[in-house]
Amino acid sequence: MSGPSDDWQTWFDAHGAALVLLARQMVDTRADAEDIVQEAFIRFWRTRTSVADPVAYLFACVRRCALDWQRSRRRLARREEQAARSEVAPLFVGTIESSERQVAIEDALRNLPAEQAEVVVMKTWGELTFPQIAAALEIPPNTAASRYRYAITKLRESLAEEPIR
Amino acid sequence: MNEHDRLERELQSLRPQPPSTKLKAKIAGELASSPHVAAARPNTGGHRLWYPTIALSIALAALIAVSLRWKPRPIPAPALPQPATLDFHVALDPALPSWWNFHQAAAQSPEQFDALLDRDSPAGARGGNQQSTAPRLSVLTSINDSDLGEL
Repeated sequence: MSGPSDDWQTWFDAHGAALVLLARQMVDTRADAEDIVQEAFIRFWRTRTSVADPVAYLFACVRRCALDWQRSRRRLARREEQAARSEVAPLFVGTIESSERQVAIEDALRNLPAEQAEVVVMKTWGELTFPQIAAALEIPPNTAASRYRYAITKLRESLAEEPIR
Repeated sequence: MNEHDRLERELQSLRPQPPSTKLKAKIAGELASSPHVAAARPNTGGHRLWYPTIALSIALAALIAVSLRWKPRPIPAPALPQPATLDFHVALDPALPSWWNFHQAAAQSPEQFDALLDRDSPAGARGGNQQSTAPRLSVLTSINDSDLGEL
């Protein structure tokens, strides 16, 4: 969604799933990812009118909140972090017949470097353009595009044993 | 269609897990508890860009106007000393004592020299401004202790 809207639910319905997925690339549990999205979305909604590209800004807010969360989490070193790392909740809505392939894709996505995984999420499920991704990550558009290409290549190599539909 | 395109299409076909209803409810509650947050603030981004632009333009225009109006102030030429005007009526008046008269009076005595000065001075006498002229003339013509005492 690129058009401006004053209804927060419209924004949330359009981007919520991709935002949670982006946060999941940086934290271990879905609950933490949703906490991050909540904080980021509130921050975004307060300040969205002061930016040129609100969609890119929304994703940038989630990423920034996730980075802040990671830093604070490291400082606190909470005990449940170890347990959270073992959580393997599905990232995607899947069907029974596609579950194996879906699990393989999720594993491949988790094994990507974080800087490549976030570009794939923004491009594929956030439907952001490379300039928007570049704005969100504060990198040149060419860098965003090359990260995406490297990520797709790695995913393809990881999934080489899996049949592609 | 290459492998990359097929993989990208497969990735796009996957749908991320939707956010929980709990998350949406928490956002709704937070926005409802702070109504100022839900209201869109006026877009001031454009204004922030315009203010410095306008200020710079005004400053530039003022600078150009000043530079066009400004001309270097001419340096006044130093005043040349004017030659002293000579009053020929006075200088050539035969009634006045000549240099030779003063020389002779000074050779005879200081008193005669003073008397010659007093006779032809513009004031004409020592009476009115005796205090100011007498010591000066006396010093010029003679040196005595009483005159030095007055100084």
